[in-house]
Amino acid sequence: MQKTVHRLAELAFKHLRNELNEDEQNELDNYLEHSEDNRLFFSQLVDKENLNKSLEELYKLDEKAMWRKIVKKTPLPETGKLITFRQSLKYAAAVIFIAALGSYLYVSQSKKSEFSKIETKTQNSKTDIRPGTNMATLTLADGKTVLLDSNGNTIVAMQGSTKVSNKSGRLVYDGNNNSNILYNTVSTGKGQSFPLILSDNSRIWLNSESSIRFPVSFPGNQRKVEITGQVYFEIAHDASKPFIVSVDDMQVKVLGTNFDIKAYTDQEVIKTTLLEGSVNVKTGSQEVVIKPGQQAQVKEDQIKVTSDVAVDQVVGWKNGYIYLNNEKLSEIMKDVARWYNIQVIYAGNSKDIGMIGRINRNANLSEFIKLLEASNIDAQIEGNKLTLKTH
Amino acid sequence: MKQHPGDSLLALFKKGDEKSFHKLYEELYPSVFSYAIKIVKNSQIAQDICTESFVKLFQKNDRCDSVQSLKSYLFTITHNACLDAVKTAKRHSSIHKEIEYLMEKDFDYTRYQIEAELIELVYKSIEKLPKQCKTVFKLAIEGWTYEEIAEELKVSVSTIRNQKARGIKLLRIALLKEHKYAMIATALNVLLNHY
Repeated sequence: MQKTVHRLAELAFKHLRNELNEDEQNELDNYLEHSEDNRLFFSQLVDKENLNKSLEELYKLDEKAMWRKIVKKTPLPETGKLITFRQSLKYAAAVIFIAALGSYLYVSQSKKSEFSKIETKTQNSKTDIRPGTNMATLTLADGKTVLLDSNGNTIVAMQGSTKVSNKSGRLVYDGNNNSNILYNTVSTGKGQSFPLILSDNSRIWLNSESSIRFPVSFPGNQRKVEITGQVYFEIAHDASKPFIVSVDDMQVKVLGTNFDIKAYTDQEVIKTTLLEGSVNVKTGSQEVVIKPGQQAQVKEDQIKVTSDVAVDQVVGWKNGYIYLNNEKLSEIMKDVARWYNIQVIYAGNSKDIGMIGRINRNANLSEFIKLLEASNIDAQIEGNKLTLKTH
Repeated sequence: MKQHPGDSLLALFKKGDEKSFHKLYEELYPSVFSYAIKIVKNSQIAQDICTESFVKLFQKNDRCDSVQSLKSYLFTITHNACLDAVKTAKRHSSIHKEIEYLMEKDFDYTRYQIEAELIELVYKSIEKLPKQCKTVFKLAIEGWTYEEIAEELKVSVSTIRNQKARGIKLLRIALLKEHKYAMIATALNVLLNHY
């Protein structure tokens, strides 16, 4: 069929150029006689007006608007992801920017990719949940406890010959000459975090529900501390005294280095992330040395190393951000609940929604809730209980 | 041997993500739309039909194994939607007899497809022209005279004439390269002499 049509067109144009020989002229006449269709087609092919009109319609067409309509009506997977359509009905994407506070959220849901900018104004209401604060509890060698906050510039205690002071919200240990080994513990509850400087000048940051137990000064040939929860370290270099952090049955040995250990009991895995320097991670049965950008994951006695970790995101908490790396909502909320001191209840299948983004954790919880609502997750606060539900 | 452009269309379709589908859409919408509007003769209806056709194509769960089957799938949906639209219109007003032959079961609409693709070819080739050339051509297509174009673009009439000639020359070269429709290219060649 096509060949006939093509041949007809060919003949038609040879006709226009007066190039038809007698055989071809006969062939053309036969075609035209044969059917109304052929005559119509022929006339349309040679009709300049016809072509013009068609082109004009194309120029008038808003093809971008048409594309937008198509996208709206089709569940399309995002660029780069090869998800079949049936699967893709579970996932879509919406990136929501809260420009002023630097928080954003990207929720994997269902439809198309869409960016919408939302401006939020900080509103303080009585029912709004405040973020965590710079507070901690210090337990001295004799068992006495002291509450620490950001106020003042005071000497909190003397521990042997070591001076312990609170310098506007940072605990500082001064003096490394104790003959006796005295242990102090600094701990944080939900909604608290605190920085400290040990007597060897190592810098420590405690996240919520965390603690560090350490000798007030470091005798002998090592510096050994114990932690729980999440702690970020910037260890002063001292080749003669390796710094050892122990968490349950795991030990992390460093010479001089920056790293973060996340070891909450509500997680299956203890994560040690290295930013600078070098650390040796040891369990009962395994031992590995990791490099900057790597993370050692300890589960029971096994160590797994991952590379190219987004270290800025891992320690974001120290800088005021909670980063979300496509983890499930239920995982993310563990950190959020700890910092905001809330209890989270999941309804529907909200637990499994994946999120990518960043939250300014110094903002009230309502900011985070606004992001969730804009991503079609219903969030209700009652007292300190947050109920999350998918729409 | 030159790689058949259809191969990349098929690859885009198989890739299945939004970016690839967008490229596929940009390649195919001129012929699909031109086809639809030829039959239904109404831009808005043609757009709606065109939109639906692409939506259905993108939701096609069994993959096409050739670009030909992809295109024929697209044109078949479009053709059927056009028929429905015409039937609906027929209920509301009297439609000329010339449309009735469209309803015939064994009607071969490939010629319309060819025509639509021909229009698409010209359209795309014009889009690829250098800027001023393209503007001149588009205005000429819309019926502007040389004098009107010259005044609008603030150049001399002879400049317009030159741009037109240049455009025709470039179009001829571009269209002759399309060896799939070499014959049509020749035909167009002649057609362009009308301009």
